[in-house]
Amino acid sequence: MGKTEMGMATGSLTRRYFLEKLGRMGGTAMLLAGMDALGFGIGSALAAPPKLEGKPKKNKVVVLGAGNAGLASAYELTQAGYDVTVIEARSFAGGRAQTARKGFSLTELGGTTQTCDFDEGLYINHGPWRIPYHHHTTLHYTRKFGVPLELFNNDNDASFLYFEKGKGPLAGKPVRKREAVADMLGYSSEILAKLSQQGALDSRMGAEDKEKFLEFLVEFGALSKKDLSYTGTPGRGFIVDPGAGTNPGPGTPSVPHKLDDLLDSGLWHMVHGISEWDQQRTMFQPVQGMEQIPKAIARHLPDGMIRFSTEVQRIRQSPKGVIVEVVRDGQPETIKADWCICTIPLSVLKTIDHGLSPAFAAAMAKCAYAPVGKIGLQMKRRFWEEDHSIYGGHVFCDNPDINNIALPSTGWQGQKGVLLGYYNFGPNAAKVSGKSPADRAAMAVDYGQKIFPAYKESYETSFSVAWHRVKYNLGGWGMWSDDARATAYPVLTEPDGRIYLAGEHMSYIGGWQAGAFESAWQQVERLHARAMKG
Amino acid sequence: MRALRFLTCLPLLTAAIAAVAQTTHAPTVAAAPDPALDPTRVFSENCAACHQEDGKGIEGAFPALAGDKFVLAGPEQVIHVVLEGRGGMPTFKADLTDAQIAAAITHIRTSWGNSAAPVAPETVAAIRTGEAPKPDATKIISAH
Ligand SMILES: Cc1cc2nc3c(=O)[nH]c(=O)nc-3n(C[C@H](O)[C@H](O)[C@H](O)COP(=O)(O)OP(=O)(O)OC[C@H]3O[C@@H](n4cnc5c(N)ncnc54)[C@H](O)[C@@H]3O)c2cc1C
Ligand code: HEC
Repeated sequence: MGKTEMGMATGSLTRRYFLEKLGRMGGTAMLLAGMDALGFGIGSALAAPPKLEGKPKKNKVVVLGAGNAGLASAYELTQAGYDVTVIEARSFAGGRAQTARKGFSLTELGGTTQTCDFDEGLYINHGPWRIPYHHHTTLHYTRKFGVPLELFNNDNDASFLYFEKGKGPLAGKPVRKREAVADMLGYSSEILAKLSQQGALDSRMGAEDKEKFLEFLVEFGALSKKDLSYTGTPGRGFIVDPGAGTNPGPGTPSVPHKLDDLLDSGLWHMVHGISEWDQQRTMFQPVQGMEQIPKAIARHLPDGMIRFSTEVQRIRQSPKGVIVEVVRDGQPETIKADWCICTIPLSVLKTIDHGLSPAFAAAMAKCAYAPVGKIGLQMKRRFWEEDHSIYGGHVFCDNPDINNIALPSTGWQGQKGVLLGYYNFGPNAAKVSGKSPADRAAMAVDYGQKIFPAYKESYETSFSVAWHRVKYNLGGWGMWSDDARATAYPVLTEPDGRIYLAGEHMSYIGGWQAGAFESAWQQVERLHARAMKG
Repeated sequence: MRALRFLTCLPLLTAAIAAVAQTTHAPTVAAAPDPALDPTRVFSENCAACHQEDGKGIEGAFPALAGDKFVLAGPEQVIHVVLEGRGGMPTFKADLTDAQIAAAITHIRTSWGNSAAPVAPETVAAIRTGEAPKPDATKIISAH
């Protein structure tokens, strides 16, 4: 056994010992978290819901909000024997995890009512739409309740990039992502390889390493072994695809874009090595819409536990318990409980007579919610598949009113489809949301027409949302500045008396369902530990 | 800023920012007023979807800015709210230049019967912590 091998063996022994110990101490959740710490790559710290053992005396909990955070809180507490009531202002469970399909209706504040009239079976996830493979909490519930998943294509090399604001011949032209990637990596590798061959890196590496490094660059950038030049690669696509016989036979190779043109176009902004942690390629979506997740959890709660169409208007507490004043159909009612888990978004909670401490009120004011808009466009023909061989994925644009057009990862090769016509944020979302639904659609369709010749003629009907104008949300997700994260956020993670806050805003996975679930698990566990003390 | 995470790369110039590229950094040149910095227009594009064109807001969600004491008082707190956001009021610090923020606030302080002093870009710059977005900078996109 060589020296390094010995070292590895010792390393893995220690690791195994450590993991076994963790497993004995804290069950699988702890074990998996430990594996993560050791770099085995289990993403979220909590891989399984907390084990809530024992029966507390004070066991009445009121959960405010039946979004994913509220539903998970209610489910886990119910399993542990708590007596739970869930108050939900809307007439359905899921909160932001909504899916618009035929008949779904939404009235924005200050806007008109839209009723979705997509064809039967077609839908848009106008809220959450994708689940990264490492969001274990979200995937825990889909597995547990058998919610069927399908792949969500989060990165499609065949899809277009469309940048208008640059210069040169590639500006304002749809360019396949694979071309921009191949060419940028090819030219970069060529430059680096040639410099290194000329000795530019000699002070950094020895002859043997230099040779390996050159080999890497040749493979990575698809360079010629002979002269280290980049002249294209099959991966960027063909002018005529290879086929049968001698014609087309080997096909006609494509020719790289010029480096100057790529640089001028700005398209290089979309070329990366590895994606962001939250945006890697492998993602899932529930078959028939994101709403399937909250629906599945809600189905596993006792009948009548969720009080729908019931709005929280006033929250008070004493050392003994929590009192929540609610209104349903104009009828006030008072609900009493020992504990409260409040998952109402902070943007909304701060406008309610919440009775929370001044420190809490000040901390809540430091979270600002993001304006976010989406539009679903029903197309009578799947031209992106039929005419362009683009199956799912995103078209990224440098017009921030549009940003991201996305092709559906479902219904492949069907007749019709609903694509995402824009996904905008911040001031652009605010600006676009000032338009009527019809004008939003017209803007989106006009823009898409610049990329896909069949866009306009295929368009049938739309459904759009501006989350900052949606009652009971007032924003897409909470945003913490660095300062607020350091000062305000920690205040809110602690209970205020008998009230615990949960929701995506109470996590570092903000704007993701996993953040809502993990924060629910964490607060439920802390509430239980305290309740067990009597 | 955890929410600003996807496409840390996607370079997006806001239309408004692109449009003012030539003027915001040239305060010494006396040029014709830039239509992109017209207070009414800046307000319409960035604020009116919530606070409404008439400044009356929407009860229970978006406060009225017309006749609002907070808006009419010293501009510092108003500038702070527009920069940092607060609950359903978004942060604009990463998206709007000092000149744009000054224009929006000038509009809300001088319209609908409100009569408070206009706000200068320098006043916004003095209150802003951290860098202002460059008119020609790429815009970071937050997606989920
Ligand atoms: C456009 C968009 C895209 C997204 N994309 C993704 C994605 O791809 N993947 C992903 O995992 N996540 C995504 N998210 C984030 C995800 O939707 C949220 O993180 C998650 O759904 C939040 O759950 P929650 O329970 O914290 O809040 P919510 O779902 O908002 O639940 C809060 C509940 O409180 C209720 N409520 C509010 N006020 C009152 C009141 N006064 N009385 C009674 N009830 C009240 C609301 O009706 C709601 O049901 C996206 C979000 C948006 C907006
Ligand atoms: C996405 C909707 C939205 C947009 C867009 C928006 N606001 Fe607001 N604004 C709000 C909400 C909601 C509040 C109340 C915040 C709270 O709960 O404290 C608010 C509060 C304010 C306040 C404080 C009012 C007070 O009495 O405390 C000012 C000033 C203000 N906004 C100005 C602006 C300006 C200027 C713009 C445009 C640059 C703008 N807002 C854009 C939603 C919005």
